[in-house]
Amino acid sequence: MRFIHTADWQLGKPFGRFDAETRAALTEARFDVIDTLGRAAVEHGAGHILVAGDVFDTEGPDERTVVQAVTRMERHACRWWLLPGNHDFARNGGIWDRVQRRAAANVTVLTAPAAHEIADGVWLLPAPLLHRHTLDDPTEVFARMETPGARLRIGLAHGSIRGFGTQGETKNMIAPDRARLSNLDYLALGDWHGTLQVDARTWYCGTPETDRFQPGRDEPGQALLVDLMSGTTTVKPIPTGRFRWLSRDWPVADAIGFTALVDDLLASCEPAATLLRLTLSGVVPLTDRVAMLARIEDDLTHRLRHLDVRDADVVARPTEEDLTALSSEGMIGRAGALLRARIADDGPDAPRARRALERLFVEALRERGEAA
Amino acid sequence: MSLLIRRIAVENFRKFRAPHEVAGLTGGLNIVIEPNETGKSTLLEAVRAALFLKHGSTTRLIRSFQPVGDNVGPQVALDFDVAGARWSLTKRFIKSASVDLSGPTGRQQGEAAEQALQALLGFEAGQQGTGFDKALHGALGLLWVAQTDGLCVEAPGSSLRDLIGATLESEAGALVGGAAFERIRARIDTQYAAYFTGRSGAPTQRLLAAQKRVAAAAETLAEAERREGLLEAAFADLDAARRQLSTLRRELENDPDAAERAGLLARLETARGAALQLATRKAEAAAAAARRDGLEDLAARHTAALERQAGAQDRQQAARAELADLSAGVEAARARADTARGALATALSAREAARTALAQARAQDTAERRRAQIAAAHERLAHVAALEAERAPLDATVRQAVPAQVLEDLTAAEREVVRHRTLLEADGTRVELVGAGGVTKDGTPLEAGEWTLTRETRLGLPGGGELVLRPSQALVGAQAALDAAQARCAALLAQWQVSGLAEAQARNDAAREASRALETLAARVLAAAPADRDLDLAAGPGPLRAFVAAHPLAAAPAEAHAPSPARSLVELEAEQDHTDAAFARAEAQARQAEDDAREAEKAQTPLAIEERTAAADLARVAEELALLTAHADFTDLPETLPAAREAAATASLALQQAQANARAFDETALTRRLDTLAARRRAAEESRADLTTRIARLEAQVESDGGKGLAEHAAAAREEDEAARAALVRITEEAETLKLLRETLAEAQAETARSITGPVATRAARHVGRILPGAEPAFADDLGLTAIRRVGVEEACEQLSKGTQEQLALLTRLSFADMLLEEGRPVSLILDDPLVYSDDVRLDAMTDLILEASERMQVILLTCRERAFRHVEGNRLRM
Repeated sequence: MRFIHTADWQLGKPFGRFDAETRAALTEARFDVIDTLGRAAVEHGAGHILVAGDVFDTEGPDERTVVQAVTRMERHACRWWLLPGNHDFARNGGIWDRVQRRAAANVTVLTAPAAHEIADGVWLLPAPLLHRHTLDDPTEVFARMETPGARLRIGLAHGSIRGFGTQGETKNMIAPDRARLSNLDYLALGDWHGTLQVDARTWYCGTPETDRFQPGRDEPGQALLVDLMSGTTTVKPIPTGRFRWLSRDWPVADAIGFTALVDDLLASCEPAATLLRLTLSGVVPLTDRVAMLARIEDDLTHRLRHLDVRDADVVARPTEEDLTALSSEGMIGRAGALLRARIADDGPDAPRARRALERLFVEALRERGEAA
Repeated sequence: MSLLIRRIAVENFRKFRAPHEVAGLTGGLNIVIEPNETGKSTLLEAVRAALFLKHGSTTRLIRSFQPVGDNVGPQVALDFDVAGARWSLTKRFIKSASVDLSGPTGRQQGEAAEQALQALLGFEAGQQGTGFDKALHGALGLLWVAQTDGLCVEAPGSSLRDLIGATLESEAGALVGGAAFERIRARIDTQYAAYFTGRSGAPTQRLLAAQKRVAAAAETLAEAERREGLLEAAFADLDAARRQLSTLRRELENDPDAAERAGLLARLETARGAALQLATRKAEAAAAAARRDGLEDLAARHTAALERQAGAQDRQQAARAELADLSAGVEAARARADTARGALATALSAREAARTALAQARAQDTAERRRAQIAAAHERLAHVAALEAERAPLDATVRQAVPAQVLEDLTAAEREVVRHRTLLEADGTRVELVGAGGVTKDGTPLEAGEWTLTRETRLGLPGGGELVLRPSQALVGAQAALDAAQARCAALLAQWQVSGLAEAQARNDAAREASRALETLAARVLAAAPADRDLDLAAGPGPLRAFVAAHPLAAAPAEAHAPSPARSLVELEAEQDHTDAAFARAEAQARQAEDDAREAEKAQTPLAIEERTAAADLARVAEELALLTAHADFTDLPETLPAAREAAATASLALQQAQANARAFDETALTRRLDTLAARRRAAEESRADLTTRIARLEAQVESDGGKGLAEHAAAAREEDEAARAALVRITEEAETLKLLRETLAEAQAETARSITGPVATRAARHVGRILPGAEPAFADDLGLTAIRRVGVEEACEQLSKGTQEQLALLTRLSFADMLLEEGRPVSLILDDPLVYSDDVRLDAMTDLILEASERMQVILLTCRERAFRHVEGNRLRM
């Protein structure tokens, strides 16, 4: 039995913090990934694609979102099994009724906790979420499902593994040994946006198209190609994502070091398909700071799909040379001295004074450049 | 470093058409004293033109240098030293414009010469306008004071400020950025303007846009969330309705009330049987009780009738006995009443008799009295008649009275007779006949004697002749008047039949007397006929006479003349009173006796009634008893009554039992309970219908709104809201940073300015103190003198007197000149007609200062006031 395990498509996610162009690209990429998955299924000879929840980002998506999802699924020669997750939980008259009204023959919506025999002797046990939050283990329903003549039992669920990750009371908690408890050959889980193996038979596939910055998770989205033979389970990630969401936290000391880091980064990625959140920290000379700003504003930001720079922790310290240059300007030097005094006082407006000093310095440099 | 101008030569320059030269200018003080209109100011202008104006320029100012009406090339030549080096400059404008500068480095011409000049003297080549731009001319622009500028306490131009600032570098430690600073500041201002408005600092452009974006996002979010909330509420309602419906359905299918309903129906059946039995028992009990009650009633009525019969008989006997007692009393009372009535009749007749007697006596008395009065009236009339008889003679006397007028006329006539007679006797001619007879007089014989001749008299003489005597005419008139008067007198006396005046007066007196007597008589008549009310008679003789005529004196009747009755009126009246009292007494006694009799009779009446009532009662009771004894049950009553009582008690017991049975199976309660169950089922069915409808409606709503993607829109709106807020924070921060930078720049500039004005003020104070002891000058940031402070009070420059303003202007210039000198700038002071407003004391102090300054720099003083500067030591020059 070979199938593709995917989840967390989050179709219709708004990406409101991005500019309009990026927003459109990200939204479109999420629809495109359905085609990527469909093609991958055909390519790898997988007859089924199991989607472990959060197909949609909200329980009330735009009609276009629904239509795009359904029409893209129906044009691929495989069967799609859609499980309601916490973002798109099942309820009467809700999103899934809308999907079913439009759904093609090859799409099955699993809004009821009832086992399906998807192939001869292969049973799919879905644990749909009927509420956004439930304190019960949604996979407990597996115990009540009849799977006569089962050769393989595949669980499909959405939620966190209990005692895993966050502390305290978490919603939709799944027993960590659910596969064993319910005698499953494979438990396909969704909710966790990175790929994660819980045990030999239990996997989180991760989102097929990344949708947020997550430090340490640089890889683009992927799905899992699962081969089940009686007794053996083979799981193989297949890349599906278009955009990489990179988070970088760089301590910097001068412009040269910064430039090197930038160059390395650009070399290691496809900039047009990269979204970067860059956090800078460190003490740098004022002139270097200006140079770094120039590199960011005049170059980096235009190369990447999206750039989010957080440089509140960069302290631009003027060197003696800087100060001399500034002082020769008379009143400008005087203004610089006033701002430095404020920074030295370290009062509430010290950060603002620091930025003001940077700005003054930039203007003074420009003045000098023009004079030269 | 000093600038020393040695020679000034002009040609074709305004009034100097011919070449004119002022040479021999030296270091120190040069004084040029010339009258007005000599060209001193033109000379200053020529120097400025040569140094500051470009030779190739043809501005209006430059064209104005041409002498009026000439189209020539104005030319100026200067010889001057800068830092000890000699320079020579020749500049020609408009026609064959040229410049030629020669100095220690050689000779230069054209633009090169202009630039060398700028570098040498430190001014900027700028566009020339209609006048000299002092701001561009550096130090010299400020120090060469034209006549018209002397008064202005002006600020130096920015380039000069920079120069001064440079001078002060060591003292203030401040640097002035100048143009670079201004450019940076302009750029910051431009950036700032993208966030705040310049004047009020209100948000604009980017900041405003960010704020608006936040507001719009918040609004959109609120709307999206509201709509999403409505949809969610619909979902919740739908869910609740569905749960309710399934509960209802379960209830309707299982019907938990069915068993109870069956039990109730069975019990209802039992209850109906018990109710039937109860009705039968009730009827039986009622019949037994009725029978018992009837018999008891019969017995009771019989006993009661017997008792009433005995009572009536007792009452009848008692009444009869009492009636007998009372009858004797009644008889006695009636006899007393009869006696009293007899006495009353007697008293009545006695009283009538007494009354009649008294009335007769009174009538008789009255008639008598009237008769007497009438007689008196007759007597009074007689008296009146007697009095009236007296009136006739008196009336005659009165009638003979002579009127007063007649008396007066008579008196007047007599007086006239006497007067005329006397007159005639006095004036008449006395005629006397003596002895002869036969003489007639007017026919009559005349006796001897004497007479008075008053009229013509004819004396018949015995010879037949006649002697006619004619008195005078006057005597004749008098005689006529006498005759007339005597005639009048005689006529009057005849008319009134009196002999003379005396008699007339006597008659008049008698008439007056008679008239008085008549009045007295009338009063007496009136008194004699008074009014008499008894006779109904008015006063006066007329009524009296009429009365008397109407009442003749009748002869008194015979009995009237009988002697007075035996009893007097008084006695009769006493008797009447006596009989009245007797009657009243008799009447009271009679009434009392009758009352007593009636009382006695009244006491008898109730007893009679009682007696009669008792008799009637007896008759009725007898009838009743007859009826009772005739009743069918009467005979066996002693036996049947106890039996009936027992039967009734038994029936009552049976009824109680039946009632208890019926209560145990309350049909009404059972029916009610059954109705309740039915109603509950009906309500459940109705709710099911309602819920079904509601669910359909909610499903429709959810289906319709669900397709609108409300949740996705809300999520997008939330993210937009967060993004907008973040953007606002970022933009606000940028804006605030710019604001801070802008403020810091302004602060730096102000600080720098302060660091310069301080030293300037210190220098100026040294000079100002000489002229205005104790006063300190105050400078603005642009180095303009704004005010002076005296004894702690600040006075604005424009408030000071013209003289003081002019002096301050000069002093400030001296201070600047000193500072520029320290800086090593070429400095020279030209004053054109200075200190015109100064008093002598100040003028002396100022000239002292100028003299001191001239030790440090060349000073050229152009003036028209010979006297004011006569005593000042210096190099004196003529134009």
